[in-house]
Amino acid sequence: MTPYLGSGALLAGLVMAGFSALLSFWAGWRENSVMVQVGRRAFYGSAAMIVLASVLLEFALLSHDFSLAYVVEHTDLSTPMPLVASAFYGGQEGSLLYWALVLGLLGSASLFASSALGLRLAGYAAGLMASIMSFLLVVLVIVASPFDILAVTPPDGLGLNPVLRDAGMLIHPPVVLAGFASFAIPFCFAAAALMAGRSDAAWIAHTRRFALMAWALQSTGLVLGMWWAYHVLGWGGYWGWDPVENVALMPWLATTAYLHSSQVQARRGRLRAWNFGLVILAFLLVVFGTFIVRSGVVPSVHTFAVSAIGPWFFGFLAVCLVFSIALLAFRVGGLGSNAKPAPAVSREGAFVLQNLLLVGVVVIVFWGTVLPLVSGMLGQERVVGASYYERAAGPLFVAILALMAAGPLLPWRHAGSPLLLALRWPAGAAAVVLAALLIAGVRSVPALLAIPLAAAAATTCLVEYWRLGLKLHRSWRGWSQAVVLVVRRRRRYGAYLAHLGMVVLVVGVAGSHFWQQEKDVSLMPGQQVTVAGYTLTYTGAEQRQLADHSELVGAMRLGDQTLEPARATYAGLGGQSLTHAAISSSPIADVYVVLTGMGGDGSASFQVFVNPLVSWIWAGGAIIILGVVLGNVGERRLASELAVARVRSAVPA
Amino acid sequence: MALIVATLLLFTAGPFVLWPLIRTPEETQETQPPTVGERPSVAKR
Repeated sequence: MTPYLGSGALLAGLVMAGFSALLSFWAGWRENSVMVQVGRRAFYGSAAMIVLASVLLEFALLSHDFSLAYVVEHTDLSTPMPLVASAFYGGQEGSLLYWALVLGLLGSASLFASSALGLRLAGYAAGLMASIMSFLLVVLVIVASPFDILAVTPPDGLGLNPVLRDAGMLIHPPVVLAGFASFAIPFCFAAAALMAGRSDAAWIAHTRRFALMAWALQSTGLVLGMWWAYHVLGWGGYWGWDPVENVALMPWLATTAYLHSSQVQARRGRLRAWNFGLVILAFLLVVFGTFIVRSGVVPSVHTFAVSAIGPWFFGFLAVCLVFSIALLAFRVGGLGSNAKPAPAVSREGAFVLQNLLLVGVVVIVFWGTVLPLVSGMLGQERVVGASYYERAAGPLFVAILALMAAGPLLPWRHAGSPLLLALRWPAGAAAVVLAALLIAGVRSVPALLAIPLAAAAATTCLVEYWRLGLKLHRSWRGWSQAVVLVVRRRRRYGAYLAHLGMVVLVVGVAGSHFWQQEKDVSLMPGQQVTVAGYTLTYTGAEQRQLADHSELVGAMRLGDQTLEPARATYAGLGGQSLTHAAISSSPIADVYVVLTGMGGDGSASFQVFVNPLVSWIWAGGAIIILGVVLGNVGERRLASELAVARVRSAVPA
Repeated sequence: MALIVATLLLFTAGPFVLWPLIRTPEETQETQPPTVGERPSVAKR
């Protein structure tokens, strides 16, 4: 019964989404209040059907309903229950349903909050969102249904891929997929504003809120993905410039640019066309990324079973691209601003330069990602490695870091001689750190650029907090007054906290990249190896039988800790094996041990890495999210009202 | 079978979706939200 209920729910969802799309466009055009509401409610109804289908799929997974092909392909009886539940988004069809679920829930929330934006804009936004939803549901109903029934019900399933049998599976894919899905929401509001001929501050405030949410989800997803890759894949690194990583990074970069440039529009009424373009670009990159990931057109370690959905997403990408370009071209003439451009050395100038640098990184990453595809079409397939990205994008990242140090200290309009005075603290910090690195014998130019600039950027944030402290001290009227002042400016200080988190992350990346040490050894029990001052003793091997796999463990003693790197073998999955790295973490460095083989004479081979400052990456990610959450949650006034008030006060009529 | 289920679900959701059309005009006017950010309309001369 479950498959029929699930398929029926998807079909009903598709009908409602299609109805919502057509009605909302018509109602928005006619500015018909009642029909806009009906269209919006049809979208809610479609979302409810997707919730029902998701509950049914989860029920089928947890009850081991092997009449469903999806349950057979992604679970078996030996898979632990939490991982069985996570198989919901572990396969092609389920992850598409999860995408539709996130779009339905977040889209409903955004449409619910959009009623104050005006009928036309709200109607068009609902129409666009329902169109995207209709596309996903068409794919789910016709090409990739998770409710397909097998002719013969097998007694057991094939099981989840060993790499996915990890606690990280419970958190990384849902967050990163939610981030991916939620980029559609700012796109819908941006495109709707263009269609409605609206370029005022209300749409940007509304869009910014959801862009920020998508950005925060994607940031969390990216950091969790790095953490998972580091802990599970056993190669000692966390970022491999794999196409799937790249396609997750690109919309994040475009949205980072938008979150900064939207401030220029909110404050000065400028960069309207650019902001529209960035929001649209982020969504197009998401669709492009989905096409790349799910069609198998470029080689990637992230294996999604190649299915028939590739051409569908290619068609969807083409439609979105043509629609977006036509819309921008049609409306760009009306998006100019009367406000005078600020001088190059100003906050606005810094934002523009930062935006250009971020878009430059997007172009570099995009080219590296599509090169196998393009070169394959021209004859010989070519793939670029990490060195391409580091050499091409590295200088741009360094320049962005420099802007993080200087930009927040620049005034919005005129930067005169006080600028030099304001920059003395970050410049001083950079000089001190540079001198310390040179004295310590560091000669790597990238390291000598990145770390002092990170110190400068951190100092800028700390200077701003110091100024806040001084302001509070001077006008002290009790704690309640101080809290009110901080809360009123929490977006600003939350942003500085996010910048601090980014600096911590950059230091972690720089430390682990420039000073990683590695040694391959073969040891007999009792023998030792020393890497970067850390001495490990091999104590012996042990075979363990667990619920769904067996493990060959080679134990190593590090001080008073025992590290247990292992090779897991999944007999139920045709003997597939997986490396389990053992990691000893500290704020200074991680000792990362991989068991690479066992000799017949009792010896064991290990790959030992010492990765300095890796834990700073995870800490930095957490601080970024904390900054975003503290800076943006619970605003009392409507963000749109705030933005309107700002633009009215800043831009002369 | 899936078609029958879909039809039943559509009938179930119908009243919720079409509620704004079913409401009385007075109720509709009471729930009109204020509009933010749009230029105020200029009266025709």
